[in-house]
Amino acid sequence: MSTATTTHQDDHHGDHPTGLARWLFSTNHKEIGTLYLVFSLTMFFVGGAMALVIRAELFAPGLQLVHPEFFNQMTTMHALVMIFGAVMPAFVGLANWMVPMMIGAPDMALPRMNNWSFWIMPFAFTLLLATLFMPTGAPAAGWTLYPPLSLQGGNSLAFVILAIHLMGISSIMGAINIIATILNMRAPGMTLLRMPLFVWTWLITAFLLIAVMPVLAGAVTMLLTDRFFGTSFFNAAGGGDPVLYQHIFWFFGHPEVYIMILPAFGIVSEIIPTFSRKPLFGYTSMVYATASIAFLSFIVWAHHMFTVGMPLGAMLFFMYATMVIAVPTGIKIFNWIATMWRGSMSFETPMLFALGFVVLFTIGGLSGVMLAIVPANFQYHDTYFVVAHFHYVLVTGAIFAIMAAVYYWLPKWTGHMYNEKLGKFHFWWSTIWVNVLFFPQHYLGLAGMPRRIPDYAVQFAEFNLISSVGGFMFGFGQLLFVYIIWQCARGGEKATAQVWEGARGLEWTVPSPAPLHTFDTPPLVDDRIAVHQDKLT
Amino acid sequence: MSDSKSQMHKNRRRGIVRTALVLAGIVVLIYLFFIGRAVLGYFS
Repeated sequence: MSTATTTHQDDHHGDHPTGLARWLFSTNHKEIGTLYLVFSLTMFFVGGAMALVIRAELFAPGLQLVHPEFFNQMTTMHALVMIFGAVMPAFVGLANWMVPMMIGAPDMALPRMNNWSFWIMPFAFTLLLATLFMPTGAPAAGWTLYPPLSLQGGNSLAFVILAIHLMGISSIMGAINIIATILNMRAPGMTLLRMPLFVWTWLITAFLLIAVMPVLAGAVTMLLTDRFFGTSFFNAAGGGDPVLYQHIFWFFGHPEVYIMILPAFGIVSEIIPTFSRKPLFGYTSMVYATASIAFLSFIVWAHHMFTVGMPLGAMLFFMYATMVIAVPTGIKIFNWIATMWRGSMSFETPMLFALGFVVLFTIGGLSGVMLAIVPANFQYHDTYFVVAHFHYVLVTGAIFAIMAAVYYWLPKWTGHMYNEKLGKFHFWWSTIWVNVLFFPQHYLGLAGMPRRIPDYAVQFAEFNLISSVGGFMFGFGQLLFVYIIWQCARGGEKATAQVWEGARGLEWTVPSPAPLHTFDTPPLVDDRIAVHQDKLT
Repeated sequence: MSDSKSQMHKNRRRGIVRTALVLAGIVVLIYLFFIGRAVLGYFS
């Protein structure tokens, strides 16, 4: 594959600042991707530390370690940090690194905006985390910031709302960049239906971001004016309606769930064919299933708020619409299994994490269907069953997929193979303890333990103890992940360009480590590259 | 760079700017739809 430079569009290539300037002013998609990934990993540990505070307090019944108000701040901040600081930036980082290479583009379409998208994030999270040190403390009303509770806290709400706006601006700019890149920068011959699944899922995710981030911005702006400027959008005493906030929030919130899982589907759809040494089964149906899930995500929002009271017809609509999501998701699970069927499978760390994803995400999906059933939801609502459900979806779903992706592409990024033995140990350690952490929470929820409480009745003691042990073991085990990445970045066995025997696609045609500039001259793409087509063997 | 390549580059740039502007417009419209309706409702 040619990487010859051309003349005028590449005149910035000779300019390679070093040190801090290299990272501050970088417009290179690979460097910005690295920045996103490092930022995400940092936030993963910040949010993880908050989770450990929560699990330490819940280790035994009674109030022992932290003040209840601080406990509520921890649940709120843990969610905000993990969603907006860890999971979303990790996927954006992976998109930055891989999307241009996968479609044969030299860089992102808008490289300067790409730099800006990233560098907004540290400021947003400084604002967010600074609220912990303010006199009234951080917001403690949950990440959903439901009024009236969120309006009864301190002035730190203003900082959180500004931080959310900044994160939203960053996400919107990132999404515009990804769509502009995919629609305009594909190499000749890289038709839409030849694109790798990771690119497809990100294209659809970017449209979701464009559609819902302004909705969140609108909701929190109204919250801001209610709190500080005397409006009553959500204040019943002034003629407003707090339930309106819930409707607007979840119109953003449910597509947000898919923003965090669709790119994970894309990653798994890349990894399973590679380690099964077969093309992905049902490529086209995967694309349509992804688009269907994205569409459905806009018409199911009220399943988060069945208990507020709504007409029977509305409950039935939202219940059935939610259940319908199981169909395209089931298609995906079926296709992944069919891809593995009679494949020449091997079980390197990325494949292990991808398989862990398929099994454990399905558990999260099934508890999701349970939650969709209105009468059952009245029992499960606001219990630990919900906590167990979304942690299966987000930890063993999104985060396992991110870890799979890191192991899969790390040799391409660093030029070295990671320590396979340690990688496998990391997988098994994480898989065992994450189940010890979250599975008992299903039972706690079914038995009626409410979420977001620092103390609980003694009958919940055993399962909470088990869950906390799992939490600490899983949490500290992630230090191994950092060690493996650090060790791989420093050296080790040299990686080949293709890295994995079954890997296909443009990103595997460039050397490892991928040079700073790739595909300055667009590659020609034909069916031999577009290996995801069903007809190919 | 040959003329055809330069033309391709120009077209690509035009496409990028057009895509970005349309998407940014959609974002602004959605934001105004939510905020604008709310603000109008508040003052009416």
